[in-house]
Amino acid sequence: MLGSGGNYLTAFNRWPDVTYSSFYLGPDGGGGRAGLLGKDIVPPSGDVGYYYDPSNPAPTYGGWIFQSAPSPGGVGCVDQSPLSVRQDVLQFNSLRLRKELAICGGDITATLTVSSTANDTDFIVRLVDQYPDGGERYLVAEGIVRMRWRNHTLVPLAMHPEREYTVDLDRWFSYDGNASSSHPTL
Amino acid sequence: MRTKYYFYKFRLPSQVAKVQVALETCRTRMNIPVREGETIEGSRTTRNRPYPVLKCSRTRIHRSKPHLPAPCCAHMTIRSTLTPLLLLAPSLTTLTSAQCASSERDPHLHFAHGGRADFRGRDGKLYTLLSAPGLTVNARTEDAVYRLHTPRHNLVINGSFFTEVHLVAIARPETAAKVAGSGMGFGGRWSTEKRLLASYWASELNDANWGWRVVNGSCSGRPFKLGKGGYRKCDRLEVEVDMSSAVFRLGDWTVTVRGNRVYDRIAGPRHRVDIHYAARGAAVAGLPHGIIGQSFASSTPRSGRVDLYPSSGNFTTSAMAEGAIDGDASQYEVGLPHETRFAYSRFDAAFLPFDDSSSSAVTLEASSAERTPQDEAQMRRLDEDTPCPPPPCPPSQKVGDKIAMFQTPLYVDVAAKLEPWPVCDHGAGGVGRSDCVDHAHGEVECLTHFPPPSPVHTINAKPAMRDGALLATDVYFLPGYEPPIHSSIETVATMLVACPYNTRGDFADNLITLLPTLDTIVSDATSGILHMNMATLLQQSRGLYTSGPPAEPCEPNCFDSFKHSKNDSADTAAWVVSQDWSNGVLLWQGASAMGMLAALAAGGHEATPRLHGSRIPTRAMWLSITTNDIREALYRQGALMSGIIDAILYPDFIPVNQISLAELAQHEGDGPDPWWDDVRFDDWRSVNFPSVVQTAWYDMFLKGGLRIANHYHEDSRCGAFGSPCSVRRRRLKDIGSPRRLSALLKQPIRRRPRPRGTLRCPRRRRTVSRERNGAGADHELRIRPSRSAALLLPTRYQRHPRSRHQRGLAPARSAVAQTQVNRLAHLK
Repeated sequence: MLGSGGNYLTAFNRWPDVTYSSFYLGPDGGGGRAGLLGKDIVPPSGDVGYYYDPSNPAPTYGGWIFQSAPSPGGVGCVDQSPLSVRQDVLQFNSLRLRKELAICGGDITATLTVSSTANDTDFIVRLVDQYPDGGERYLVAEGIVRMRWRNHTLVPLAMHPEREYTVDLDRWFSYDGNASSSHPTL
Repeated sequence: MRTKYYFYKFRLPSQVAKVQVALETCRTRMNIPVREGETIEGSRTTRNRPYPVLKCSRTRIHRSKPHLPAPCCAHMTIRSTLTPLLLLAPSLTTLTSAQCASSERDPHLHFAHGGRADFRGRDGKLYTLLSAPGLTVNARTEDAVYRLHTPRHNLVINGSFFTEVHLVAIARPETAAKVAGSGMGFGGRWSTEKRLLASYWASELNDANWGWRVVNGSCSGRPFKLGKGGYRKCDRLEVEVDMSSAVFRLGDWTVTVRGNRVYDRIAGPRHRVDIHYAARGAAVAGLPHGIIGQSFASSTPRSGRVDLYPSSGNFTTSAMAEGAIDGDASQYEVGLPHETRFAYSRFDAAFLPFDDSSSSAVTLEASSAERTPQDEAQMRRLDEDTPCPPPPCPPSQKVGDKIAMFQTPLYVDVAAKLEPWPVCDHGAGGVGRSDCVDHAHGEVECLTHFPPPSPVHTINAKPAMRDGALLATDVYFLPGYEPPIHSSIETVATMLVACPYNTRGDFADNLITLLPTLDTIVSDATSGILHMNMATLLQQSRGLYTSGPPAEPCEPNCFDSFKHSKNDSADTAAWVVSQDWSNGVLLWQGASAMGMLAALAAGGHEATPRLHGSRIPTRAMWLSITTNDIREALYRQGALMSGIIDAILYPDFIPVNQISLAELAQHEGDGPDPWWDDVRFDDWRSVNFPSVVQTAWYDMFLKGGLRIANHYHEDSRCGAFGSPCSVRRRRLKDIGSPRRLSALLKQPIRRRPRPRGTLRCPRRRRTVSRERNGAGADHELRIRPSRSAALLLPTRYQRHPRSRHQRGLAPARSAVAQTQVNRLAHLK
């Protein structure tokens, strides 16, 4: 329903029909921090890990239009490439898109299977639009889950170091970058 | 007709104070001395902790690079080199190239045609730096003590900095045409002059060297504030704020104000401003004056006294640009920030339209190098005798252009941007006047008298809620309107805004001027046929500022976290419909926090004895960047959003001492905590009114906004207008042509006397409509002419003369407007 190009105003009589696509996260086999993001293809199973130091949180770049602290580059659609060099941010790269992809509405979710040596942490997933030349990576959406509230319970649940958990992240935001902090927004 | 003026009060160092508190706490906690060139930053965080903690970190300030001269002179240099002829005739170059001057750091003045001088100024005094026809730039000097540590110098300087810049510019001069007000019996001659007042306050910069309110001012009397990334257009003048710099594009003049830290400060202001001035084209034809401005008017370099710094020790600056300026510095002092008159003022000289290219001949002569004082006087007389005609008001826009403003960008593509709104403004232009009082060093309190956009009648009340709490409530009426004392005068609809932020502070100013602005748009779009004659009600949320809970005093933590909001909305609605001026029609509107309270108000219909058990007679709702669940404003899947809490805890937003962060922290999480039930609205079936919901991709409430819009659309019952309730869009053809509206409105609409208590049940009508339309069908959500007319103007009916005690109760009044809607529908 959405035409090509951008920067125009359009209107519908009802909410556009949505076709959901599934992307799967997986390691790229190189053993590094990078992974694969396959559309409708399940990559080989395996783990990708990182160390997170709470005293050195990953900074916020853009995002929600309400931030008090000076996020580098402002809010909204901001280049995330400075995060690429951080050791505590994982990247999952998809193949290059062959044609324009229009994304509409709020239902973007992510499902992660995670485990941690800590009994509580946050996971932040960002969907970014990487430019063909591999340079800029612009934020499309991001989401967070605070693990102690992962099951929507009234009391916090600690994580067990040996156990894996499958958690859902809601639209607010999701895929391709994966970190445990976004300071100072959260 | 009574007239009321507003006092717009703001305290400048408010944001700075917050940072200070954090800094002091950090210093104490870290218990380490702060080394030179280092800052300590404080911020609240709740990362991995159940309660907010202050987070302290140390950063090293990076020294800025040595200042490079502004590049705007390069153009002239190149031209001159290429064309030797132009070297001999500097006046020619002034026609085609930009010239620049600047005042920087411990003010060093660099003049337009070369030469420099130093300027100390007297502490706290304002000086006119540039005075040109229709433009004045004043700046305040403040004494400062700082350390100058360079390879060549190691000394303590007792000097001064510019810390404030105030501009006055005429965006459009007054025309001789008289603009008569129309409609609702108000009229008269309004000034057509459009005047921009703007101020840059270095004190509003925070430690990171930016701020949310660095620039404030007014365009034609309409106040505005700009911070990081802000932009404002006032007719053809533009103000643009980047991080710490503001660019004022004033026709051929461009004034760039750049805020900066006072490095190695010992005493005095923490931030200073550097100002750059660039003149293009015909700007110099106005023979500008002022400390800097006069260097544009003559083509010779000016060299004045400069302070010669020793290499070490203490040094006090004293140069006052002697030798480079006409007269002495005291003749350039002005008393008020936006004062335009001083000894050499050129402000009131003949106004040259900024883009007028016909004045080039004058320029050639005026900027001649061999000009004598007599010639100059002659030129000024010439200027004043032959005023240029002001630019005409642009022809009225096509109606379609303006209606586009009403379209909700619900489905807007991610990066879609609407062009700035072209409106030919006939509002009363006014000069703001500021009185500033120095309380202590660095603390200035200013009382700026901005004339309101037009005279507005105000009612200040404190209606009692059901538990006795008195909520501060201000009602504003359109110009010329006075609340009826007797029943023979028209009553009006009410637009309600419940607001947690300071309704008497500068935050509320935009809300107060919303109605006159809407009226301008609507009347322009309909060629004066329709007017938004309504009342704007601004209510302070319970427990904040002047709104009290039943038991006072209760500090701290008067604030009830909006838990009474639903009931308060119902009680306020009951109060409104019982007022003499109310016709019983209520419209709720709000963005962000105000939108959440408006959304909650739709659920405030239960147990409302004052409304005789009926729901709030809401007729329409406008929501923007908001959600139906206040919990989402604080927690995101269990994670507290400390960023937003930091952002709203400002003195003019929500006072930090009135919020119990500990209580909020107790209700962290993502589970079904009943504590939040009172601040969530999900009774979608009770919605019976049309609405407009706005959101955007990066709106932090995107999900909430879509949830509201979709539930309103799918789950609400059909609205009072007999159509699906959510108004998603409006188009020109939906509104109808002005001619058609005019034909509709010529039909007199009279109120039918209705016996008390026989309120027509809207539910029945909705049922019928729903059957007709079919629930869940692909609705074409158009506003038909009759409906839009009713929505915009539910008031133009003749009220049936009755004595006060016979008048129907509130619900009956809302039925009146319903009658009017039916009537209009029949007409169609």
